[in-house]
Amino acid sequence: MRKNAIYLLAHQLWKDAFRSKVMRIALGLMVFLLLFSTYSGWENYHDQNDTRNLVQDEVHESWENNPDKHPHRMAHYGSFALRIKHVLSIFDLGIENFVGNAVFLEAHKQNTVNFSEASMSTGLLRFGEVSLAMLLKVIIPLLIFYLGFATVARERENGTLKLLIGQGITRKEIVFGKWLGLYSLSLIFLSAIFLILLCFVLIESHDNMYSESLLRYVLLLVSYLLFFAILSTITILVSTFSKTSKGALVKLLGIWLLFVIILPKSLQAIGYYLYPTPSKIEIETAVEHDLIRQGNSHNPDDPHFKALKDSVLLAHNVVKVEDLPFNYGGFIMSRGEAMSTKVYLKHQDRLYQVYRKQNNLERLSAFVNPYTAIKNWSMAFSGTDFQSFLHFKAQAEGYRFNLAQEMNQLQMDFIPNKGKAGPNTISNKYWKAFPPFEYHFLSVSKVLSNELTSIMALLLWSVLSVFGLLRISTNLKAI
Amino acid sequence: MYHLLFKSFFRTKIFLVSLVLLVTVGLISILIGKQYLVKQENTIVAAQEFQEESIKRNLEYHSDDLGLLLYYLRFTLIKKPTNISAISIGQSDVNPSLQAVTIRGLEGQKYDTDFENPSLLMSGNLDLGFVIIYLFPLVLIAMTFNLYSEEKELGTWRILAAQTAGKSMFLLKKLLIRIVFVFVILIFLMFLASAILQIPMHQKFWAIFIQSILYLLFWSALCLWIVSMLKDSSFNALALISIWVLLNILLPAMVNNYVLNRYQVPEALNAMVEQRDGYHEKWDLEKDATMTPFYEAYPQYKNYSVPDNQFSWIWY
Repeated sequence: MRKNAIYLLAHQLWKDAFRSKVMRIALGLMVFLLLFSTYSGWENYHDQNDTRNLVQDEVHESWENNPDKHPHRMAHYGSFALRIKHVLSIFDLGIENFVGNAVFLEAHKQNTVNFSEASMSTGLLRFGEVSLAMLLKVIIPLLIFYLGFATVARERENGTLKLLIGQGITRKEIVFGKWLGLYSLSLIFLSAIFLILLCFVLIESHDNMYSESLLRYVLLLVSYLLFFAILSTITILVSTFSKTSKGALVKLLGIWLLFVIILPKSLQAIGYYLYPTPSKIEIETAVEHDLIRQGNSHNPDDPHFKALKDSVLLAHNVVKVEDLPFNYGGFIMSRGEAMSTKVYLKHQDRLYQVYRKQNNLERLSAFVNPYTAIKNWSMAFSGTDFQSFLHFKAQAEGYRFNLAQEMNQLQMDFIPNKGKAGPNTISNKYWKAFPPFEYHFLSVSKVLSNELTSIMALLLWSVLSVFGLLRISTNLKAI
Repeated sequence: MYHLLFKSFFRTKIFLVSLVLLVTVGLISILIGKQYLVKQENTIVAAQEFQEESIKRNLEYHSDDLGLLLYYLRFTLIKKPTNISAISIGQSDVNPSLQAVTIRGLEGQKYDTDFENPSLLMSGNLDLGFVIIYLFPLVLIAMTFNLYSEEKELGTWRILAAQTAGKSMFLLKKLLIRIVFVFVILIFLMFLASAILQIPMHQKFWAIFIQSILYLLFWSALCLWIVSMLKDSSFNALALISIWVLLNILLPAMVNNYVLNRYQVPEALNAMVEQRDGYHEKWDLEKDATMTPFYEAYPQYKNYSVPDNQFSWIWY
């Protein structure tokens, strides 16, 4: 292969592309879409995070400002956890708008994460959203197909392919030259979007997040470089194998529809059909049954709590709970909290297992559909995938549990037992000592391990692409 | 004439592909709608059982204290789905149809959500609505984009032009056959849905029916318009798919982004905190501050007094 010949062919493709009307319309449209999605992504990220940070601060302020009171009342006063957006959510919205943004944290009860954008908006959201990643994943692949469907097929139709080969340009040079031309053309869009994104990452990342965000950015960039290389290969392959350029176009459009619209949606739907989500009431009933089976604190004759009581009395060598050196109510509640949380989390895990099964069908289809691979990978590294949401939920639940148990401990330590002398409230300095909720994003290594399937699929597709290009360079038909 | 046109159409590959695609995906979408309805019905039954059981259990433990009983009881509010919603599940997967409320949670509990897989929410339900909105136009495009150019490119146009009196009439007939085919499938699927999902033939059903017909008529007209420019197949395919992407993906998405930014709902989060603070603040107030205005507004309750330093449900 001669470098010069390849560059010449790639250059020719650029010249043809810029001469065509498609490219001019596409460029205009892309510039507009780019500006629009950059602006709306930035605006949304800023407004949302500003509001959420503000509310999170307010939550803690009002928590600290509570007067002296019984600690259990503070456990019910509770707190809120608000989901903060990752800076890269400007790039890929993922499931961002379909999951809740705030959760009320109180004793005894795991509340749902509420106020998702989807629940507050019209049905319009369900038609999709424009983001920089959406342009890269959905629109630009179509553009690559538009720009590349004719590359080899039309040369053959016009008889120029014969001439090229006659003039001593090897088949390999033709294939790789065309591929390089198309790939580099697609990189115009890629680099424009990633340059904008780089600015955001640099402006928005603060000290400790800085290197993590940059690493996420680089991983996203690499994956999209691979994705576009794969798409360019598919285009060249189809163009080479098709008899006419029209045939190539129709096939490529079909591939696009299949990859981007039909396959992901159908597989997700089939996954849901095969593994239906249990209803909320089913899960709540199951949780309640499990709890009652283990012990019912409301039932005075319950064996579990009776045994607990007896053992505590024995350990402290007293006959009545009122004589215990700590508040018995607080003790029972802390045991109850630990028990009910364990049961709840067990059932929640089961529910997430169902979700995982539903999603796996689509996730594994990455090996036949490169779009799925890039979609999941891109969401994960933008901090907008399901795992990132679960990470938030787990942190919020951890904070809730600590809060409830801390208040129970305070009650045990400072509130007198029934019938004993002593104050029924404690000083508000104890609330002030309780730290506010702080959200930490998933670490890059964790995301990487979550997304092993996607990257393996992308790498496999890349290897297949190289193999495919080499293969057609040997049996490219000139006429 | 029509006989031959039909014959040649039935022999095309695209006819078979479209038929199989639309009928299978359409059937799947109806089954998904069915599954949605069955799930809702089961949930409602489960909720009713749960409700009875929970009332019975609570009565067992708290039969001597009405306050405590009401404190623990949960009441389930049910919004019964209509069968027709299975055609277009829409937002009903985001907004719960069951709401369990207690006398404690007050305002806050109104916003509790159902459990649903967010990945599914994002990709959306594959209901009949989706098939009509997205897939039917694609099939129309696939069948009509080379209506004229195909004849031209195959070289049959000249022969045809020489043999038929009305060239445009010929093209229109060819188009008509394809449109009729698509409409037959649409009507078949609609009636199949009405049978499987037990949708009565009322106004709402006919409204969806007519809307779908009109929607596909729009796409047929659009295809005809592009085809009548007499460009080559590649141009037609490119233009039609671009329009489809623009109308079905880009435009709604852009309007959505615009609306999300333009009309934000930050007060939801503020209201949530305010509600909690307002609720708990009341506990720290002197009881008179609440009771005096209350007795003024409701003098009939004057003889129910609230004890000062002991727990009472009246105060609660």
